[in-house]
Amino acid sequence: MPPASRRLAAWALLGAAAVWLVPANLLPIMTFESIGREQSGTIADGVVRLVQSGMPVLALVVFTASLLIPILKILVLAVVYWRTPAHPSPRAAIRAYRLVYWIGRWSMLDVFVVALLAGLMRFGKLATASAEPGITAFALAVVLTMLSAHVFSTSQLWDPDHGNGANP
Amino acid sequence: MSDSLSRPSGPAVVCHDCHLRLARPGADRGHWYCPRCGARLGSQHRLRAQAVIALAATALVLWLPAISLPLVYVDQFGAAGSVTVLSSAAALFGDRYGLVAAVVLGTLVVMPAAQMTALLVAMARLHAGGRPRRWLWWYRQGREWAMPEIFLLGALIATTELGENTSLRLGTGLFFLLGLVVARWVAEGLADPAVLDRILEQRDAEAGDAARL
Repeated sequence: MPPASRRLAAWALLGAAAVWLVPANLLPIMTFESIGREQSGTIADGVVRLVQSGMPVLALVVFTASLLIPILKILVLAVVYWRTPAHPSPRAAIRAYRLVYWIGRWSMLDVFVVALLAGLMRFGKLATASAEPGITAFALAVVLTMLSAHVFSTSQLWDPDHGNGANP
Repeated sequence: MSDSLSRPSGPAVVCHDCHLRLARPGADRGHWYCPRCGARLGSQHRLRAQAVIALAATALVLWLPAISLPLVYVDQFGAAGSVTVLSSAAALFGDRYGLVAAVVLGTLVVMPAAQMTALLVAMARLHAGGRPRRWLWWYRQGREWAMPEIFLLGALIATTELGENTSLRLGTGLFFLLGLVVARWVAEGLADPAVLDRILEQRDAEAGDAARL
């Protein structure tokens, strides 16, 4: 694929990821039902619940993986793509790119937490847990951001004519 | 038979990140990096193919029980239940969250097995003098898309969250999963993609020389 097409594909995937990140953060990702009482929660609600349960370290992990990193990754990639090809400071750009490239996959954490809880609390008599549409939007946002970074050719930061898409 | 593949020397190196062509440094000490983009391009450490083969085979053996045996048992006032990787994906699929189920299956079932199989075959072929470029491509993809270590952290968070109100017991699947994560982590540490690239370049150069003779 020519470098210009790769850039376009990376932008398109990043745009789609940014769009899906909105419902991912606004819609509930999970519902708990306990003794007839239903409680739906967004990603942010999950972080608050962990803090209120006296688990600030886990709350920090979930906050970083599910709220901070997805937004940070999209912003960093957008800045890197915006100034490519022939980036004015390619070395700094590739450092930022490598960082978000490898950290971004940890955002999948909340998807796995929901999968486990929904699988485990399925047949409880008094308490059940089930997935909600927000988790689909969140999984899509994470996967699309990863694909966007994957499609982008880092060699274009230096040489716009010979990019062929190698990744870290 | 030697457990290591000899380090390549001679042909020019192309950085996989910025595509700069450069000569191999004369004296290899420690890791060496691309002067333009800082990517790691090689290392003085020899690739211990047999050790990597053993670790990849171990990870593959652990993979099946890790995805199919119960990770956690829960007891809610007499109603007992358990969850496996496969049953959690099936539950999502049953609740019409097919896309999330596909992500779970892809990252926890398909990619870890594909990555470790690719690593196993690639190392065996490298050891036999081959150039397993396609298998190494799959190995690289698995480094990104296989996520058992993230799932393990997710399991820790989920059980801590639930543990407050419910009686929980860890299942054997969780220990197989932990073993898989450790074996994969060590195998990846030994099978550095930069070192593998240099070996392939060396083999390509040798094949080119042989064709010219």
